[in-house]
Amino acid sequence: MRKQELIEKYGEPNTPLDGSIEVTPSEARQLLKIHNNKVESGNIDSFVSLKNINKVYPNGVQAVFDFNLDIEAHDFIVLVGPSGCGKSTTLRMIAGLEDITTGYLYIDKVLSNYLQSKDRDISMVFQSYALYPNMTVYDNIAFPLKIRKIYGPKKEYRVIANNEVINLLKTVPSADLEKSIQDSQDRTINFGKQFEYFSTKYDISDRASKIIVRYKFLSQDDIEARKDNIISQLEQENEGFVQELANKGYSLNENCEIVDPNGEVVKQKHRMTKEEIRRKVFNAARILDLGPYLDRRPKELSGGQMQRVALGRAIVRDAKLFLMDEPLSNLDAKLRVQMRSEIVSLHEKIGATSIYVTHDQTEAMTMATKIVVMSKGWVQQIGTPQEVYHNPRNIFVATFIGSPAMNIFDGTYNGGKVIFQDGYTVDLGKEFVEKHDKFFEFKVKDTERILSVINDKSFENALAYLNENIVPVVNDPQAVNEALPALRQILEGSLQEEKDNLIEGVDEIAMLIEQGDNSKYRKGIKHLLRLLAKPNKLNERDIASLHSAMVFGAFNENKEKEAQVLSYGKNKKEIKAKKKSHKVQTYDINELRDLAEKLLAAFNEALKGPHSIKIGVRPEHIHLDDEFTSKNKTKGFEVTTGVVELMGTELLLHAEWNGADVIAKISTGTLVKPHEQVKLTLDKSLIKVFDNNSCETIE
Amino acid sequence: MNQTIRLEEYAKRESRLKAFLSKYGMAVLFLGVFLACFITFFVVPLFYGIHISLTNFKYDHPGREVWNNFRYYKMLFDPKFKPLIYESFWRSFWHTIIFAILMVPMAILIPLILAIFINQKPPGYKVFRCLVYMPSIVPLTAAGSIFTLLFNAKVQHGLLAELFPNTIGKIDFPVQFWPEFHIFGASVNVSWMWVVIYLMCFWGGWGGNFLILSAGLQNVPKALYEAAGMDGCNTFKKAIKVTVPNIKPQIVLCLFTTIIGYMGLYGQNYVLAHPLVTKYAAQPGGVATSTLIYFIQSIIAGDGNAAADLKANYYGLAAAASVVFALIVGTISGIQMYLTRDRKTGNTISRSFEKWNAISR
Amino acid sequence: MERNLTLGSFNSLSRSGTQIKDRRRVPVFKIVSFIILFVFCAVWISPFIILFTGAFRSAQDAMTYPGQIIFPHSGYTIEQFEWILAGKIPTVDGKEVQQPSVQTYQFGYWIMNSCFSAIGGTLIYLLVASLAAYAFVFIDFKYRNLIFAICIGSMVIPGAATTIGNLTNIYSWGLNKSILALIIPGLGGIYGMYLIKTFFAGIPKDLVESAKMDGYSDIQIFFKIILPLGKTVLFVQGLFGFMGGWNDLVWPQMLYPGSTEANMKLWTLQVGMAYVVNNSKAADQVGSALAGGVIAVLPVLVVYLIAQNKIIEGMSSAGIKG
Repeated sequence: MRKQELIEKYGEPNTPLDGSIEVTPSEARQLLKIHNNKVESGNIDSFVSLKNINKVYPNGVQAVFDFNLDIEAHDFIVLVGPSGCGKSTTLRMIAGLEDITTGYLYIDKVLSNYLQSKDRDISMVFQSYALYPNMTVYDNIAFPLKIRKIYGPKKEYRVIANNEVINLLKTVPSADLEKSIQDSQDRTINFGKQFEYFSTKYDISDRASKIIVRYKFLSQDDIEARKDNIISQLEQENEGFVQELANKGYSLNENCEIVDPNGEVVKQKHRMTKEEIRRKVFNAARILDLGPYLDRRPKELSGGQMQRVALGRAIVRDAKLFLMDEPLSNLDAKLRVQMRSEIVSLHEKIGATSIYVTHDQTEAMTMATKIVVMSKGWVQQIGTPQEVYHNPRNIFVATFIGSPAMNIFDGTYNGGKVIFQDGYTVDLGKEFVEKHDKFFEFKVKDTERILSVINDKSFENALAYLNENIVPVVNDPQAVNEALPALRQILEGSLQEEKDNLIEGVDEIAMLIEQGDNSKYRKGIKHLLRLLAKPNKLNERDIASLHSAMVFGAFNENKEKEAQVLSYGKNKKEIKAKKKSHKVQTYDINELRDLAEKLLAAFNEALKGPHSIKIGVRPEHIHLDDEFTSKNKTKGFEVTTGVVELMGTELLLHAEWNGADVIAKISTGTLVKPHEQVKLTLDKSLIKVFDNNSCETIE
Repeated sequence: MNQTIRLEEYAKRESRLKAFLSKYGMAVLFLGVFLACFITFFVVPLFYGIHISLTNFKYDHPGREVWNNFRYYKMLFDPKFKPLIYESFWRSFWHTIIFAILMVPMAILIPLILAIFINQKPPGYKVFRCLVYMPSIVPLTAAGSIFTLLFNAKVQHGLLAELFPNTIGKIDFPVQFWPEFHIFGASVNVSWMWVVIYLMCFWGGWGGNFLILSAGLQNVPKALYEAAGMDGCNTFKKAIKVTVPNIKPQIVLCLFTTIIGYMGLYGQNYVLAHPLVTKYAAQPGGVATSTLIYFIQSIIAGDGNAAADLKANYYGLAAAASVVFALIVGTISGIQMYLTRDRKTGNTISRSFEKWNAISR
Repeated sequence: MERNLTLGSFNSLSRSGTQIKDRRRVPVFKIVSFIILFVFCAVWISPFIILFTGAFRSAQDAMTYPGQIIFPHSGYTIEQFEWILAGKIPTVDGKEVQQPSVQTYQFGYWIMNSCFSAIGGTLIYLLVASLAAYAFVFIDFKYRNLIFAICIGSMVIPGAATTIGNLTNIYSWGLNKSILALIIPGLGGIYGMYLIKTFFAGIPKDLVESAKMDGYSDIQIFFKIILPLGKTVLFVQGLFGFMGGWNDLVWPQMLYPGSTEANMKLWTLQVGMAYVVNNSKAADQVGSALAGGVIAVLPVLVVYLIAQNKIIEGMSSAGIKG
């Protein structure tokens, strides 16, 4: 098909295509070229959508597990977590700097997994700023504009310039024009070249300003005298250009766009003109206050200024999506706070959707509209800063978010009462009992389901059936066809996630046999055999629900070992062993079964009677007994203060209580001294209780 | 009819292919020429050279050679097989080794001392630095012409012979030998010309070392000296405990580049003099100041009829000698790589701390 | 000139030194260093003076007043240059200098060949090696580290091991009658590539990734970002390459042995000069060798004196890293 027909059938060039259409390969190739590889697919509502994204490095290390996130337009998303949690990898996958192993990434509804990063319409600020040392600040900011081509109507710039000059001469009073000419010659006012003054002041193209400069007007009278002459001369010239086009069969419309003989506007890829670039860079420099530094090279700038240049380079692009990879981590503390607020206000100003990666929870809390907390490649919780702070989903989120960190105590739960190690008891009331029971009932049900999936033997049965009844008669299509329904039945009874895939495969084999295609159905059977031979696999969501139990929970036996390896791990053998153990992160199904069984037992236990829990209290919810008045106040308890830190209006009070280091944040005028007895109290309503085994918050 | 395909599928397939092709296409594009050159001009010749040394290869009829039972290696290592060639080769070998070893202290100590002086930044130190390095850029043939004039015999109006007629004037450098002496039973004749070669190498042979050492000295942080002073080191101890460990990598580098560099000594000897020693006159490396490379070069690149005979008969011998040469130099570089490798510190101290921690509680 | 300049600054230093009250602050070591360096440099550059004055001394003077080198008895003359460049043989006592049976010198060809070998070879090598270095640092492909390790490992094998093989190959390709043979074996050199790779590895990867996101292809990144950033290392490697090419004697001598007329037109300046020096050892001829020496040293010396600061710093940094 010709290009024109394709455009008529499937829409304007450079717009996203519907991915579900059926076309021939050659058409597909042409279409992709015309539409710049943009393929829309599925019904995605959000602006950026990440679905079941996994990342496995070539050396076998899995960095990101089952990442799901929907981002609305104008959101400011912060990915936060300790180092090595996979947050940067996720960002780099969105940016197109790392391949996505499995899963789908949609940016503006376009499936972007395989798009090159330059086609994704994103801009990124790197941790090291990535400023080109050999270019000035101006060139650095202009760089993305200079090399990018935009797709747009082809214009006759000569006519535009002439029109602009004519328009200028007609509308602007000649006195004003004379003053501009004088100003443009004044070295103290003009910048760069004389014509640039005109193009900026009157918002015209460089070509037009050069024409004005070329006329060398002397005075107001000179302008008046020559004005009409020049206008008619330029108009004549324009007619000449139009004639030139007409000779080739083209014409110009009112926007000076070239129209081809069919009446269509000619479109082409072209670079930005210099004045467009200049305007955009200067605009960015104004927003970021970079004016005085435009001539400098990066090494002459301070950290904060380099940071702003990097931001400038990202914003001039007007990209749909704005990525930032720990952009503030190289700055000193004071500058970091300042740049933090600058980035937030910049986001408000330009409103671009942003994804921001940091390990600093303060940054996450202060900047984000939505926080994604990650640990060891898993998403722990997604929510607004308030949600994450007030309702942490598990013990990791609770301790990671908030500074100073939440105090965690071991304790026991008994019928709505929370008992600390030393017997100090807090009664959380009937409501909590309900919550507790509901939580554990759900957990029991869920764990039972997971166990049933793990113990599901249907694939093994199907494999046995396949080997016994189909493989021996594989050369007889009729016999195979007769044996297939039974296989299908076995598979339908399966609890595995992949069963749909396999059933589809069985149906296809049946269809192939009906069609009499002998060679292909045998291949299909081989493929089935291969798929079924794989061990049972839990889906990622279920592994995720076991994950926190695996990493933080009471059944984790590896914890101690890991610590030892870290401190005395210089021995070669140990390093090797450590590398090996970290290499393959896929979970052993037997381990998972053990864990699930243990968890199930523990959950059932918890429903029956007292069981151990973890209690979390934020430092700001511990108060001095005499000063706190509230109906949620608990009984006071005495502690001996250790170190006392004065943080301006607040005191950070360290003390030992119930075998843990307690930190209390007390906003008071009373000065507590170190090493004295004080009476503290807790805010009952804000105490968090975590299940000891799954480490999830009971709520 | 044409088969149709879902556009999404096609896009996925296409872009995967494109990504793969662009990655590997780029790798081939960027690396291809270099690797091709590396293989054609390094790997292939290396093995071809070994092949030549093991066969009766004739350079004017390649491709007809057959295995010759280590004939050329026997010439080099069996004293009885071809005694004159054997002696000539080992003479060249010892010349090279001893010269390289004698050159090392001069090529490291002198530049180190000068670097220390330069590092004091006396007035005009940049000019001095420039002048000290200047002889190193002089092509050895130009240097050869100067030293020829300086050390010509009295009858040829050598400059030093004219200036000091009673000492230097009495020696005819290109022709005379030291009085014969014995080491381990072997009689040794050393040409006076070695002195001139030594001086010429000494004049222009260590500029690179000088630059490396002075850069190394400059890189030693000042604070280290101050800290050492506060810890109670005097100037000498500072030099031993601070300067030397800090410029050790540079010293090792200079040591090995010097040795390896002088293992390849040839040009100086060729330019300054090549009178033949009568005994080895018709042999490869038969000149008074022969070295390993000289030995090879006299077979391959000699001028005149006698040389043409050598090239016709001993082409493989040159290959064998260069294999031996490569083994020697390769061993030295191997030692250098071994010495300059990154060393892991192990964990003995942490382990003993662990024990102490457990016991002393 | 230089002497006056340095002495002047020396005086001002000692004067300011006496103004300081604390006497121990007089930089004794500095003064000692100055004196030692001064003496040393005076000795060290004297061969240059001999080279230049000897080249401009007439053959007659060299025979009759051999001791007067710096100021020749009958003044400076260019007859040695006329001899080697134009074949005009000087006279001693009215007789032509007796010349051994040598071919006519071809200084024009030698200089051209040397330039081709040193400049052309270096430029081509720089391009090839920096492309490879880019691939090793910024392109992620399978077996990258293995290939690089093999390249580095081969650095222990000296070039001499490959010369015979290379030479034989060049014979069989018929390239031994071409000056192309001067440069091609050098293109497979590892050392320069290693030096450039080490430098490239110090360039933040973010720069490349950022340019890729802005739409640059690898080729554009290489030429527009990496090469401008790698100027220093390219300069240093270029210098090494130039010096190596200009001063190499062994390889061109192997390629074009024997002083036939055809071969002599393929010689480089070094081979030619070695021939000249070897044939001009007699007292009345040595001046021609010195004149040749001046021709060989002058281009290098001029470049060195103009760019000495850059050259010295570049060489030092290469030494620290390598």
